[in-house]
Amino acid sequence: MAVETASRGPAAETGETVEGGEPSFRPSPIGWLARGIVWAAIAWLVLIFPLGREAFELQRYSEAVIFGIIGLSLNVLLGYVGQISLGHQAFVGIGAFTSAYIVTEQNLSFWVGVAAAVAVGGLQALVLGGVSLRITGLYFALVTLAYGLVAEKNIFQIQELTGGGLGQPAPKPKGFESDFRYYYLCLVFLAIVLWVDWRMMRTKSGRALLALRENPRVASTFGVNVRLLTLFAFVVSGAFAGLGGALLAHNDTRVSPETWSFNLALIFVIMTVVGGLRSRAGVVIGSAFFALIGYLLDKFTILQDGLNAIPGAPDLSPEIARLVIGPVLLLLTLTLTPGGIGQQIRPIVRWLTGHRFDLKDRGLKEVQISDVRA
Amino acid sequence: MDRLRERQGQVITAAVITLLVLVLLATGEKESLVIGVITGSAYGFLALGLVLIYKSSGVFNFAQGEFGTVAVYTLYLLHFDVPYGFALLGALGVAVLMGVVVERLVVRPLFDAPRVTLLVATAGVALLSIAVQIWFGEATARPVGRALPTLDRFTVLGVQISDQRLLLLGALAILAGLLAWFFNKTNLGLAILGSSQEPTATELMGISVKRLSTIVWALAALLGGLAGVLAVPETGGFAPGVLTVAFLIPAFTAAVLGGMTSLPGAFLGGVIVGVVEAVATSAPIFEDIPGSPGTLLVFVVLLIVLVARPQGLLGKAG
Amino acid sequence: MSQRARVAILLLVVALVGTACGQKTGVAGTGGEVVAGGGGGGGGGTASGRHEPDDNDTSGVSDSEIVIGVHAPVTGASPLPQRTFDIGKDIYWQLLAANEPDALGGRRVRVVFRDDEFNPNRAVEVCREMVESEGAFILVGGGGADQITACAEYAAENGVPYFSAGVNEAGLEEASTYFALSLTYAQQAPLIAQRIKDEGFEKVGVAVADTPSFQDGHDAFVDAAEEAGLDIVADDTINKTASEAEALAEVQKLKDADAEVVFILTSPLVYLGIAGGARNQNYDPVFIGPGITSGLNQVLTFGCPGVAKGRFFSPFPELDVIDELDPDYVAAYEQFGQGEPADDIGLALWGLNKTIRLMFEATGDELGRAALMNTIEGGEVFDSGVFAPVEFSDGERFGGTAAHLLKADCDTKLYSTEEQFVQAEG
Repeated sequence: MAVETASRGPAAETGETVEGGEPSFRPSPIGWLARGIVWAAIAWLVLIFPLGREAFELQRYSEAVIFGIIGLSLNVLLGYVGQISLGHQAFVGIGAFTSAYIVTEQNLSFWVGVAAAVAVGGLQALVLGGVSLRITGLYFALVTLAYGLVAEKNIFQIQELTGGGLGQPAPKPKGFESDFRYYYLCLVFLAIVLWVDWRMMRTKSGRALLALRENPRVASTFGVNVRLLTLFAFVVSGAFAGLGGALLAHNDTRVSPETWSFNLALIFVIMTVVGGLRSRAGVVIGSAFFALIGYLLDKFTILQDGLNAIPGAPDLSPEIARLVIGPVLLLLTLTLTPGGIGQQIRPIVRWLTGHRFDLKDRGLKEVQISDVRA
Repeated sequence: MDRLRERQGQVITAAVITLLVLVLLATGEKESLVIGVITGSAYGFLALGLVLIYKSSGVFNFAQGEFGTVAVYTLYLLHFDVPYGFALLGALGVAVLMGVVVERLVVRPLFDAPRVTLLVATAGVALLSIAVQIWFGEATARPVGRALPTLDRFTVLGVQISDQRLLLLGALAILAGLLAWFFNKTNLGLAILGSSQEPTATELMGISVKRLSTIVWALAALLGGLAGVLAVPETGGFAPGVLTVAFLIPAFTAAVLGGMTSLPGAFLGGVIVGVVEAVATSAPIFEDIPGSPGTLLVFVVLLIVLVARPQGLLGKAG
Repeated sequence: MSQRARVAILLLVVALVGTACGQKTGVAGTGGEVVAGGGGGGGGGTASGRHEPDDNDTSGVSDSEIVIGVHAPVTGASPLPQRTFDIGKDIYWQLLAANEPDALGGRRVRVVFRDDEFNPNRAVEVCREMVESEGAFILVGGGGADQITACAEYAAENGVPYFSAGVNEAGLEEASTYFALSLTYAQQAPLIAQRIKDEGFEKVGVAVADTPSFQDGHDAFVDAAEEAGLDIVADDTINKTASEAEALAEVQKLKDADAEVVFILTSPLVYLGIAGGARNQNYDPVFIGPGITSGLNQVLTFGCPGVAKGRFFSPFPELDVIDELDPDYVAAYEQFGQGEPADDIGLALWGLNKTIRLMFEATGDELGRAALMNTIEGGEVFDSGVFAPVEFSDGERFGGTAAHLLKADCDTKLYSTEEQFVQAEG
């Protein structure tokens, strides 16, 4: 009995039909057409729309895509493993500096830089994962927080690595110098990350990882090596984060230590939680939203006008907007809709992948950030 | 058995402290000792609030620093027009209000949620508080007047200590002792401890768990507010998030070092962390560490404690 | 399952096609800037020089408007007050529009301001945004040496003229479109050394923030001090964003070395930490240094009495003498200041704006980036009466000739102008 529950739970969450589960459903031709149109609209928004914009806007869009990658990396830790990292900006930042260093100081190509960033990110996460096996839950969160601070105040102050106060240059790769091409490059990377994430969670280990969250004892009777799995998840998370960092570095063409502050760590956590844990689409959307808040504020001045109506409220600059809106959304998510955006869009996602449109389908289990070994 | 463990903890603590003092005096770092005690008292003060909340609800309260920052902000806004004493009271009142509001809006709905969720939620509260301060105020630092203006009454081991610092240290010691007595000896204190372990039993006894929760958070906010108004005038003025950015991690380390369940531990932990930081900054051996040696060493201390003796110096094991 | 694969392949194909398209369309320019008549031809009859106009030469200049982009830190590690920037950036231009509506070919100047968060990365981002989205004709850096250096790099790559008060020279020498409107740190160093010598001090401590941008300022001072026969008893770098404990440690070192004077080149926040720490330790040296931001009154609002013995060279004089140098300033604030008092940050912006106006005028009505830069390098002297006169040439883009010496006064919590227009040598 317990075995069946464990295997059905995570599988259903990843959006698969299961034998012996709900009866097979095939959409009608009109259903296919409707789904196709929506897919095409999404594709247009992501692929065609940016072509008509100006170059520096593309830099913002690339950042949104990269934030999606970072969100997915944090989702592995927070959503799949159930460990919280309040120092994730350190992983991303180290990836950024690594790639910049490789390209600028070592004069190697962008691709080597990215590979190095991925490796360093994974390695760093492996170490932290090892620590997490001994120190759990809340205390681990504290360790990650302190680690993030060490990264900001010590690691990123190493002159050779960081190029001193001016930051380290990180030029765009050959063939992708324009912001337009770089954007599509980032999209390709996002697609790769999504695919790796999806495949990983479909393997036996992946399903076991999710089972681990719900019921550790059952998982270990499967013959699942809990420690190894956890470490593996950490490495994947770190690798994705390193990749995100490298892409960010070359997007901005410069990396400075000041970027990687505690504020950023919280923004990462917020965007992942608000996006919705264990929902890939939700996390990507949530992350993109937080990356683009400043930009959206400038374009759609409704919020600004609304705020100006409040007496005594000064202008909300884009930088501050993110810091104000973020926590509010986080608190609303945690208290009212723990599944975040992912939970809300789940009916749509299910519909788009060929299932019936069911407004009440919000996932089998309540989504929570839970401590695996609380 | 517990008695033995307690004794063990106290002996270790005494040993650690004596060792530290001796090493410092021997290596000529006596100024660091004094500076460390001074800066550490601010950490200890925040740690008191952290331990209080942890003892009563198992939550790591990330917003503890912000109780202090909000209090200092209020003090800053008021103390130009209003006598300092009233400004102080107003500041503490605002801090307590914030504590109650946070408890109602954030802690209550998440009462049964995993503790990590609450940690993230309080972190969100802290970020929101900082953001609002930047938004409505400016990001620049602004000076806040001291409660006690005399700067040079005392000099210890070559380091001048202001009256304000002594006030902070004194208040910390008194409050740590008071709170420890409160939790061990008074009915209300025991009830608070009991309610976190056995909420159902507590309710059955006619004690409102919700009411207790509000009291605890109000008290923690008061402690945080006190920490802010006493410490910040000395250190460089009010800037948005000042207590969270500069003090919270060392305060958490102090709490962990002292033992998350021990109030006197928080006090001692704070002092030790302060000294470690002061030594890290001034001792020549650490000079080559890039950036801020204090941050690295505090992190190392945290790791060592969590790996070697998770219950800290004076906390209860398991 | 298979439909997923189909969709995925479709998207991949579109992505690859899109990548190829990206190359062809480049900057699509649907919402691009207004290009004033005349396009990219030679810049009228003004001085020819080594700057060649490019496609964006007149971007930001129209028949009715000139757009200037200003960036400065109002959040981050060493922030300046936002409100003073919001008001101060426009005051000079508002006065000009009121009193001389036909100046600059009848055009109005619009100033766009962005926060660079004291982060060089962000500085480049906002500089780019101001040029490409807001259509800025030129850029101005308000403060923060690293951010200025970073933005100058961007400006040079894109042919945008970039101005700031003098800071470092390293990294800016190569920025071909950068112009320093006052003495750089290195240029001020001999003045400082001489001043120390004249006052009879001998033992000098040096505290400089740990960033490559300050290196040349530091080296220039050490050289100048040695030449003047001063004794450097301590020479330390301190963390760019030093904590209070680190400031205290530095104070201890300076005190132990017995420094009578401390040459200080850090952000104002760190200066405050050191000065405050010194005061608390009964250590009372004179603090002296170059730079813009440590000589601002906000340092005194906060730092007294620790900063009571502070002396700083500054591109602009202080409010005590401004009425004799430029009576328009205070009056302009009363008229356009929206209730904000005239302050020294506003004065710095005033001086910058006034000098820029002179440069625009010298270029003439056919205003374009290349023409502007060629005019500036033509050797003419631009004297705003507030900043010291500036003079540039092809190859010399650090145009300052003198600086004002400001002295702290903890009774009034304002800096006073101890000496105006102290000439630099050569």
